[in-house]
Amino acid sequence: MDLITRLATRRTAVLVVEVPGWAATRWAVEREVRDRGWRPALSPADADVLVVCGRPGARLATAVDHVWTQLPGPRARAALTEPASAAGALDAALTQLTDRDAQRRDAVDRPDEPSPGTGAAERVEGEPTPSEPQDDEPPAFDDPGPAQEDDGDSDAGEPGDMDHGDMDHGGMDHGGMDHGGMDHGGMYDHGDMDMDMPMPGGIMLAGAGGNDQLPDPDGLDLDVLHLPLGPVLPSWPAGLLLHTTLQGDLVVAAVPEVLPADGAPPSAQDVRRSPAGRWDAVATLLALAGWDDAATRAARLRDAALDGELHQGDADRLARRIRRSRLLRASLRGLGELPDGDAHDRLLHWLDGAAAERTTTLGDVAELVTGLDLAAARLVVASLDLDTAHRTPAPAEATS
Amino acid sequence: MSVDQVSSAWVPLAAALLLAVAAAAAALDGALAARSLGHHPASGLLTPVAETARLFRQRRRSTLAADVPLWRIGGAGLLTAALLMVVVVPLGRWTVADLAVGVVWFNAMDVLLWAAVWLAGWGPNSAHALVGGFRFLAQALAYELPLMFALTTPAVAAQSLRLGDLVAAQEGLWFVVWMPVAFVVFCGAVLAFSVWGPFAAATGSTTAGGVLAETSGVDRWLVTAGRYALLTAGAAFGATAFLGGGQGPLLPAWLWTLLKTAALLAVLVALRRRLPVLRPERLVAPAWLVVLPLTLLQLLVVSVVVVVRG
Amino acid sequence: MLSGIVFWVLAVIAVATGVAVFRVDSMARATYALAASFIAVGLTLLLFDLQFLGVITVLMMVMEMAVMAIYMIMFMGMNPALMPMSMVHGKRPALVVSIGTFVVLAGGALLVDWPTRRGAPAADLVTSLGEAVMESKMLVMMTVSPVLFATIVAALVLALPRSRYDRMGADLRGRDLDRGAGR
Repeated sequence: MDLITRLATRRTAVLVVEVPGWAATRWAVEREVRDRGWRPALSPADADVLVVCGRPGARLATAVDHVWTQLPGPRARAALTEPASAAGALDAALTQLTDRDAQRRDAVDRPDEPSPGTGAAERVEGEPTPSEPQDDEPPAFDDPGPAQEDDGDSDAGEPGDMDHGDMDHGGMDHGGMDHGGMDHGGMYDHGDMDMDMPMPGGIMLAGAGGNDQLPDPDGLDLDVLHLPLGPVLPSWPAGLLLHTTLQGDLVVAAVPEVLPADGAPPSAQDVRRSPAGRWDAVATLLALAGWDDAATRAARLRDAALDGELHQGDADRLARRIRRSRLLRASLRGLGELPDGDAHDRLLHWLDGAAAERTTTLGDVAELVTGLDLAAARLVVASLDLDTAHRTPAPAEATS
Repeated sequence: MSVDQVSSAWVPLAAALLLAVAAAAAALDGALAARSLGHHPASGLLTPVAETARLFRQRRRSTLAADVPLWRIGGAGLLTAALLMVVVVPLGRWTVADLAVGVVWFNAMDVLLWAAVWLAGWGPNSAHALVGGFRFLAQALAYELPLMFALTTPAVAAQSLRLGDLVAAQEGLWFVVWMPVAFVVFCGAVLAFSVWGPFAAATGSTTAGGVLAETSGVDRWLVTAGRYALLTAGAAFGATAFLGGGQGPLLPAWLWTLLKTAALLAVLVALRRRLPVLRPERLVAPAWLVVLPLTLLQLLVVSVVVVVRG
Repeated sequence: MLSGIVFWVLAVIAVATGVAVFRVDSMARATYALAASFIAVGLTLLLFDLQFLGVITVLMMVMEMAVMAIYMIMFMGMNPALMPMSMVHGKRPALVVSIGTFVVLAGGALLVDWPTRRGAPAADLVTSLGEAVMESKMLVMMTVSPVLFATIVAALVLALPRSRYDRMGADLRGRDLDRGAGR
C-alpha cells in the first residue's frame, strides 16, 4: 500500500445502513468506525464504504443497490448480520478499497451517466406510486413491489397544467416564444393546458400539483415535488421510507411506510429499550442537531452501557451539558408537540431514563412532520425514536 | 506603525501562507475531534493531509440534469473569496494591496459568498442541496447587516477605511477594549459566512450534508478548504481590525499578526465542538431585533467618543 | 498600456455576460450572468480610481442578485434548472427601447464636445466623494436612511404578519389569515 492510499484510508467515510431489527449490529459497526478514526458519511457522495447491517427485504435491498451506484469510488461494500463481525467486515472493506486493480475494473465498468435519484434520500426503483394523501387506503407494508427497471420518472406530481396564471408576465402570449435556439426535444408552450411536460435528462419536472397542491402559507404558487426520505439515510429510523410532498422546503404531505427485513430479526438484538438504546436515541438526535461533540460522547456512553461499564459520572456530566445548552433548546423547542411534550422534552426524558412507553404509529409521524420544513421534519422524526423493527402495521392515516 | 505595499511577486506566497494557516486550523479541528472520540489528540493532526489524499483519490460525481458550470463556480467560490479577502489584510508592515477602501473590499468579498454557497446548492439539481443553499441565504439575511455595522465601527474610530490606518489607530489601546460588541458580532459573522459551528445549517446533517450532499472528490475538497480559508481570512481581518494587528512588544510585527490570527482562529475552530447548529429560520428575528440594535448602539458610543476626542 | 488591456477585457466581459442574460435558458444563469456583468462594471470603475464606488457596486449587485434568486424561485415556483425557458418577454417594445437608449447614449458619448480636465483629482478620493455627496446634505441623509430602512422593514412586517413557518400554525391547519381555513 503506497503512502497516498495509506493516508487516504485513514479517514475512510462509512455509510451505515441498518435493516430494521439490527440496531446492535449498527452500533458495533459505528464503534469500530470510531475506534479506527474513520468517520460516518452524511450522504452517498461522501462515502467510501457502504455497510449493510442485517438481512434486508427485497425492496430495501433494491434501495441499497441504488445507493451503491451513487458512491463516487474508490468504493467498497460490506454486509454483516452479527455485531461480532464488525471488525472483520470493515477489514474486508479496507482491503477492497486499497486493491488498486479491482477499483480500476470497478470504475471502468460503471456507466458514465448518473442514474436518476435524489441524493441521499433514495427512491426505490419501480416502487408503486405512494398513495395520494386523499386515499384512505394504507400502504401495503408487505408489498415487495415489482423489481422492474427504473423508468427515470422523478416523482413529478400531476404533469401538465403548468399554471402560470398568477405570474405577472404582463399578459404576454408565450405561444410564439423564441427559445434561443434551445432544443429540448419537443416544443411546448406555457399558454397551453395539458401539454406534454418536457423531460430534460429524462426527468419529469416538479409539476404544479393539481389535486395535491396545498394553499401555500405565503400564498406562493410553488410546484410540488415528491421527495422520498429514506430508507437509506444517516440518523434516520431503520427501513423507514417517508414519501414526502414538498412545496419549497415545506413538507405539505407525508406518507410513511417501513421496508421490512427479510424474515424476522434476531431477538438477541432487541436492545432498544435498554439504557444503551436511550443513549443511541440521544446520539442520533444530537448528530442531527449538529452537535458532533456531544453526539460522539453519547455514542460512547451507549457502547459503554452495552458493555455494562457505564460510569454514572460521565453520563451525568454529559446530561448536564445537554440540559444546559440554550442553543439546543432554542433549536428543538416547539418541534413535534405531543402530549408528553416537544422534541426537547423527549430528549430530557431520555437523559432522565424516564422515557415514557409511547407507541408512536406511523400515522403520527405523518401528522407531526406535515407543515414543517425539511430540516425540522428530520429533527422531529429523530426525536420520536421510532421502533421500526417491532411494529404492528398501523394504517397510515391520510394527512391533510 | 506604517504599512507598505509589497510587490505583486509576493502574491503566491501570501496565498500559500493563507492555505498553510487554514491547514493548521483543520489539523486543530482534527485533533479536537480525535479527543472527543477518545483517541489521543495527536492522532487527529494528520486529518487535513489524510482528507486531502482521500478526496484527491476520489472520483468527481455529476448528477442528472445538473447545472454543472454554476455548480463548479459555486464550489470554487469559497476559496476564491477567502483569497481575495486576505489581500487587504496587512501582515505586520507588509500588505499585498493597500486599498483605501480595504474594509469595504472585505465586505464585498464576503457578499460573494451569498452567490457561491447558493450556486453550490443550486447546481447539482438535488432537493437537499437546494434547501441547503436557501438556508444559507436565510442565514445571510440575518448576519449581513450586523456584520456591516460591526465593520463600520473600527472604520469610524480610525476615521479611515484603510486597514493600515486601522492598525495605526490602535496604538496603545486595541479596539476590542472599547468596542467589544462589534468584535463579538464580527466573530459571529465570520463563523456564519464560513458555514461553521452554530451557523453550519447549510451543510448540516438535517439535509444530508446540504450543499455538500452531492459533491465528492476535488469539488468537495474545494468547498472544505474554502471554509477553513474563510475562517482564517476572517480571523486575520479580526486580528487586524480589533486586536491591534502588528502592534505588540518585543516580537516583530508580522509575528504578532500571525499569533493573534492563530489565537482567534483557534477559538473559532474550537467553538464548533461546543455548540449545536442553530436553525436559520429562528435566526433572523434575534439577529434583527437584538443584535442589530446592539451593534448600532456600539457604533453610536464609538462615534460619540470620536467626536468628543476631536 | 496595462490599464488599457484590463479595460478592454472587462468591457468585453461586461457586454458578453449582458448578452448572455437574454440568451441563456435558465433563470439562475440569467441572474448570475447579470451579476457577473455588474462585477465587470464595478471593476471598471476601479480603473478611474473610484475605489469606493467600484467595490460598493460589486457588493450591492452580488447581494441583489442573490435576493433576486429567492424571488425568482418564489414566483416561478419550480426548479428552473431543469426547465429551459426563455428570458425574454415583450420582445418588440423592449428591442425598440433598448436600441433607442443605446443610440442616444453612444451618440452622446461620441458627439458631445467634452471639456478637458481643469482640476486635479483629490488626494483622498474616498473622503472627497463623501464630502461631495454628504457635506451639505448630511442631515438629510442621516434622517432619510433610517426612515427608508424602517419603511422597508415595516412593509415586510405588514405584508407577512407571521413567517412562512408558522403562519397557519405548525401543522398548516390553522386559520389562514388571507384565505379563511387552510385545508
